[in-house]
Amino acid sequence: MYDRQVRRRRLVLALLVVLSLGLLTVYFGESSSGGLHSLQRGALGVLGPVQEGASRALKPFRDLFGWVDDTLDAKRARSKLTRSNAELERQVSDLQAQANENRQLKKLLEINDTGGLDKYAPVRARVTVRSSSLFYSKLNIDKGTSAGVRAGQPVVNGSGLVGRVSEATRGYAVVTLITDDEFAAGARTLTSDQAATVQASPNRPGDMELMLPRSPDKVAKGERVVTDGSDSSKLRSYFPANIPIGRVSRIDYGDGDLDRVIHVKPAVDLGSLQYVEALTRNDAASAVASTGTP
Amino acid sequence: MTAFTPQLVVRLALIAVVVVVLQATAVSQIEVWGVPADLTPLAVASVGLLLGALPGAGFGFVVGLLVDTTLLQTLGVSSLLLVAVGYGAGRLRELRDPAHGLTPMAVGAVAAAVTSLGYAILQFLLGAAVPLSALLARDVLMSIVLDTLLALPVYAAARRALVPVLPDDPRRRRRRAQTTTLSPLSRARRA
Repeated sequence: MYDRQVRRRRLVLALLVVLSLGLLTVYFGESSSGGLHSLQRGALGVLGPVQEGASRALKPFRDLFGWVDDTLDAKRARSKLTRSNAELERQVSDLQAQANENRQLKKLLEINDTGGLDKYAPVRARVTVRSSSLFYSKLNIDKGTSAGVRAGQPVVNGSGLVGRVSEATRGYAVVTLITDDEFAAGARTLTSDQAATVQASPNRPGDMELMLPRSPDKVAKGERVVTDGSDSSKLRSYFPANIPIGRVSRIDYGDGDLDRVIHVKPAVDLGSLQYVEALTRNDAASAVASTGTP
Repeated sequence: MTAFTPQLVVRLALIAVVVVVLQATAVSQIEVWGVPADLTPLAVASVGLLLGALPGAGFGFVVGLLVDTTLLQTLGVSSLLLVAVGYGAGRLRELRDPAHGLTPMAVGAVAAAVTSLGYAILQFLLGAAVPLSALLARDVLMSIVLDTLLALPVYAAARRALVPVLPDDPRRRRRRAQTTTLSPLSRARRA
């Protein structure tokens, strides 16, 4: 009984395998117009409508899975794009910062070459710390006495006068900006040629005022103001002559000449300083006032 | 040995048609991890596990024929592979009668692997260009994993469809065996 079952089982298996191989061989060997191909096409003709109906009926099922798949894909894509966007943002920020640095360094080179500041042995320094006060009246630079930076030396950048070194250590120095209350410098208007003192405006933080010109009525709005640079041995100026300080931005007319207030807008954007130069040699040579663009 | 009753044959035929149509019209168009699942080897393996080697092999042959016909493939390729799957699953049931609940999963994994690799080998033997690449290997692996995960539900569905017409369900047979077999102590007491 058992042997018969085994024989039968093996026989059926062999039959099915032989049938499969036979089908395969005949199908593979015949042309596309052969009997099996025709039979297959005929069967497909019968099964086609069934498949079509089933396909339509199962469309919501497929759409549901497609929607889930699309949603997951979209979620993955969103995460990827968010990461990519953050990376690009960082790169753009880096590039913009580098471009800004490049612009400032280029201006410094210009003022050194064409403005004649090379003669004052400029020491280039990076601004390391900036006063957190609203008006940026002081800042620290990464060069000190070891680089020849001393208290009292003028500090410039590509646009003009930045301030004066007020303290210096071996590796660092503190710069008092031109808008600080303690700052004052001999100045001169270029068109009307009025000598005066420029100092921080007591009423308008970040602004400066031109004090005590000989003929205030001659000073006009828009005039350039540069350092006067006195060479007198008794009262020698800290600053070389003709370094741009700013432009006359506004004139408040009072009752008389003494009441007249001449406002000067600094040539240097003190809020975005990255590189400055300390002029470590105070010679009598003069700079060219037209270098900076106040 | 499973006795073929008319009800059983009708149900098997219905399962074959439903599985092939479902596979061709829906499942093959849904990709998970970049590959579609293949229900046909799972269904054949389930029938083999439930009914035995001969019904499994016969069912595999018919399903393979339907698959090749509906997809206009070389006739006989799927039949040959699915005969092997159905026969193998049926022999496992006849020889070992595995009772573990995860058996269909393991059998499904083997069935999927046999089918995937068998197709590749047969296509190669028939002269078709079989692209051997890491991507293909990954796809084959993914389809095996996917089929493995689907094996239990497919087996459950096949079992649900066939249990009413099964002449001897393995579980019922086991239950009978447990209740009728006496321990040596019981036998001694009875004697």
